[in-house]
Amino acid sequence: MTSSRDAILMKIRAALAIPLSDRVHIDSLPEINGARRSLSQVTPSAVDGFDAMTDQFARWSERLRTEFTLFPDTGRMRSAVRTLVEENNVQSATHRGIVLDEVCAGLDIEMILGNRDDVSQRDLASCDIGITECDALIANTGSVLITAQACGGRALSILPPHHVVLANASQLVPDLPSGYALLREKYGAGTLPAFISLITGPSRTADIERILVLGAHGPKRLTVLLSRE
Amino acid sequence: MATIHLTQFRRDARAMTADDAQRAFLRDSLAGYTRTRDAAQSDFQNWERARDLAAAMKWEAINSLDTHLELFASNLEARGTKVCWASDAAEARNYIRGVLRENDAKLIVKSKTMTSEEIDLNNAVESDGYRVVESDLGEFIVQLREETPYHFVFPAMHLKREAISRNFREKLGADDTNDPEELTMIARRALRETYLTADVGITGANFGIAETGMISITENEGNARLTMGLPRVHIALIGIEKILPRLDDLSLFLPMLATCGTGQHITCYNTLIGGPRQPGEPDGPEEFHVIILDNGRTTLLADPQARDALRCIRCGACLNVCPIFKNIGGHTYGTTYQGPIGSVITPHFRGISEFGHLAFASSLCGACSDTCPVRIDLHHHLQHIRTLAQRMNHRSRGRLAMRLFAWTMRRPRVYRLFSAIGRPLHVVTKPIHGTFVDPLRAWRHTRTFPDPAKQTFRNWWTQRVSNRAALNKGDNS
Repeated sequence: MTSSRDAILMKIRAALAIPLSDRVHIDSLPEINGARRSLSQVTPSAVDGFDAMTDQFARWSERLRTEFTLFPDTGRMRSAVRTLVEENNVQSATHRGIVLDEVCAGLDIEMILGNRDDVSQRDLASCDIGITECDALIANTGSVLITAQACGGRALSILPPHHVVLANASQLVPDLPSGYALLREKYGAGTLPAFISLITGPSRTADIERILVLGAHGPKRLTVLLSRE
Repeated sequence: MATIHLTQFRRDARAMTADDAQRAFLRDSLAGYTRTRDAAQSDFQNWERARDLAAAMKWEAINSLDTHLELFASNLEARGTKVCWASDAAEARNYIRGVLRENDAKLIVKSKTMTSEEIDLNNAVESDGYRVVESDLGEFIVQLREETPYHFVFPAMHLKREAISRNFREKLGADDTNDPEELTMIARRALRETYLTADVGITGANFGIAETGMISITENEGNARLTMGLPRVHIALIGIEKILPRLDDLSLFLPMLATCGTGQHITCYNTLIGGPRQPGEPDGPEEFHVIILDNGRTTLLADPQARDALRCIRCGACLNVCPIFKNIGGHTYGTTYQGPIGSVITPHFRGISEFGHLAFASSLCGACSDTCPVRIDLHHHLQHIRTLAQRMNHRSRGRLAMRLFAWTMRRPRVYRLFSAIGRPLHVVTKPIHGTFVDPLRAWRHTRTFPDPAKQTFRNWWTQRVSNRAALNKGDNS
């Protein structure tokens, strides 16, 4: 008995062996390698240089209602986390990451779940705020690229109603391909994390009469803090 | 003979086309879509060229589908994912039932997956006693109403907020509200506990990346991330045609899908999943299953005239511009995939004799082909299905009529005879036009057939020639 795997693959090979009808027009399709090379000339424009990328990221953030702030150095970015926690009357927070350990250690709030491994999903869901680092910021889409390894797993950035992201200057890249390149560099092309998410603005829906509502199932607020350092 | 599907189509189309208010609601909604989509398209440096590249890339993926699928599966397995190849809906359903049994599951949370609608998963597992909850807001609403999705991208686009509020009051005991934000928050609260207690999460996949062995899921609400991130087991369903060879290909397809799907430059969450929880990761499902589904797709691949329809990325753009969709609505199609693309692929997936009629519900205006981001020649595919349907229908009246027409047109004398008796016949039979005794009722009960011209072309031409001759003669003298 052949397995379904073999049966499906056999059917595909048999189907592809049938010559295409001349009624299907494929002459106008560009050659594939050339097509891949020219991708960056058709997709939404990307810019180079930190300031230009920051401007672009800020413009997208405004449209997406991401709260984005640029800081001159890491020190001031860290103290902004404290301000954020105080101003929003945060009772509980959770975070992941070595840099964040330092940042969050000084926070005077009731419960910081921190880097513990036994954090339950219910604990996460009860937090007012989830703080993570990121793997990259994508300037031409206004997105945050995270992985399970660097950003506290799969649930931390989606369960609490407010997601705060800390990034440094080297993480801001022009476009998606350069974001993926950063991941390959960091983790190895063959050993990418098993969870990679591109987050573009706070959770949203327009399923009811096409009217935009923020905070459908994920965070209602997304804050991105970027240090120039 | 009309199949049950054709009967249902005719009945629903008649009801919907008579519902002016609902049609206006649909039209307004889709006009809003067109405005935002146009804006998102203009963010591309060259949209038309982007369509060329997208078509070429999907075409390459389809043309070596076997290689890409094998690589996709082996890369997934390398990270501990269990891969199931399912030839048809029953095989996919049985596999899922097996996983549910082994894990002693009770509650299943699902994010929007049209592939699961295609295999009628909810009915199957509910009849086994499992509870299934849809988590996408639109899907959640239509599930409460015990309806199928109206549109494969906007499942609840046919509903006004009042109707949704009524459903929430009746089924969830919520207070009445006409505020979309409050309605959304009712659903958010209702689903929170479901994510936390569900044993299994089921999702679809928008793309399968061969080189990295990952599925890519596009969404806005975060419900898919919760569905695949929290339960102990994650099952993903993916059609064989969803393969993209490279990770970088997403840099075109993610913005393109968002642009055509919802008019966004990119959607809120685009997530890649390559396996269950890995060493060094703090959480994630213990088991990850990917079901690679054929279910008629290889039949489409084997049709040398229809193969390129597999390039489809299910963005729904062709529905949104289709004059037929705008007038008959989504439920009328009676299929998982509505609109032009649904009318092209459903007859191949589920039988020309059962669903071939869908291809006739088209004006062949080509708006779908003009908008398709991967340049599928949709209206030519519709015509191809018409041909296939007619071929199966050897003794249809339509076929007989066309034969008679062809025979007549090749014989000038017979043609002249028919046009001579046709004119008076038209006038004499006028009182019965469109009534039940009219043999042309199907055409004439909704249309007034115009009166023929006072003179046939042939007569007019003969007269003109002789008049000219007379005139020329006069000039010369």
